[in-house]
Amino acid sequence: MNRLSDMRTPLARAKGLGGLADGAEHWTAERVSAALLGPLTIWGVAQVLRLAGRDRESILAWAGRVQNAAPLGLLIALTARHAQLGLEVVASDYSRGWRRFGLRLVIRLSTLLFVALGCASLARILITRPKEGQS
Amino acid sequence: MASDGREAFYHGTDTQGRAIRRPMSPHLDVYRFRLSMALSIGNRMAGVASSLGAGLAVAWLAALAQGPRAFSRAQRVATHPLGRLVFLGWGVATTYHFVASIRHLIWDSGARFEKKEIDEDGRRSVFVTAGLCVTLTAAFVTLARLRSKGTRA
Repeated sequence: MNRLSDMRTPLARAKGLGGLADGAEHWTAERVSAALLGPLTIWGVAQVLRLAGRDRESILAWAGRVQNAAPLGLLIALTARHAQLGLEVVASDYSRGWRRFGLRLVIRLSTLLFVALGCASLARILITRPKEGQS
Repeated sequence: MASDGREAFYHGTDTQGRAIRRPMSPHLDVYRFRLSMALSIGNRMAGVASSLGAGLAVAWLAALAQGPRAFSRAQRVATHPLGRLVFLGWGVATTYHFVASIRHLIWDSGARFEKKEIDEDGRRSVFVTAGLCVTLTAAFVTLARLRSKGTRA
């Protein structure tokens, strides 16, 4: 990133040095997402036990219900956010310069892909299985 | 200046981004092993493992949404001995990360920072993680077996 930094004033460059180039926002967001994930993870584990050994039809029926799909979507989104924040801390602790920039890009893109894949799958299940709600 | 292996770590940059030789104090090899060291790096590794496992779980969800053929392929991978090992590893990593995060939130409130408390809570977190893992694994295996027997009969 040093080549990019050369375009900035010395003060701006000095401000950008350090952990992740921001204040406590990153740290706070990590804790808030962790606290929200607590109850959601317990719910998720309970659902895994509920679905253990079930066939595809019963799992689809489960996922097709809004009261399951909504918390699952929230779990996916918060997991992505928390994983992104945590992986960024790890990447910034063990890498510098362009490697750090590249790693952060990979982390952001893969967590976005994670959300996109999860939401698209949930949407497909909800759209293609409206019969479950009626029967 | 030291002429041992530590020299390899003497890489730094100044504020202008130029590479300079910057001595580093020995920070890894001068400490006696303590449980809290292993628990700390373990929590970080568990977090990374938990993220990777979540990626696999969403891939499984995508296979579920895609159709019966994709789902049976995903189930073949998941129920393969290696797949089961990965699932167990994901569970253990997530359980430990969960337990350790409770400790972190307690630390963030300013409590349990005394050396004695850190040692006590560290040992507790190991026992709690082990207990949760054994209980949840037993519950999952029992439920899965009961239900797959039910569909076959």
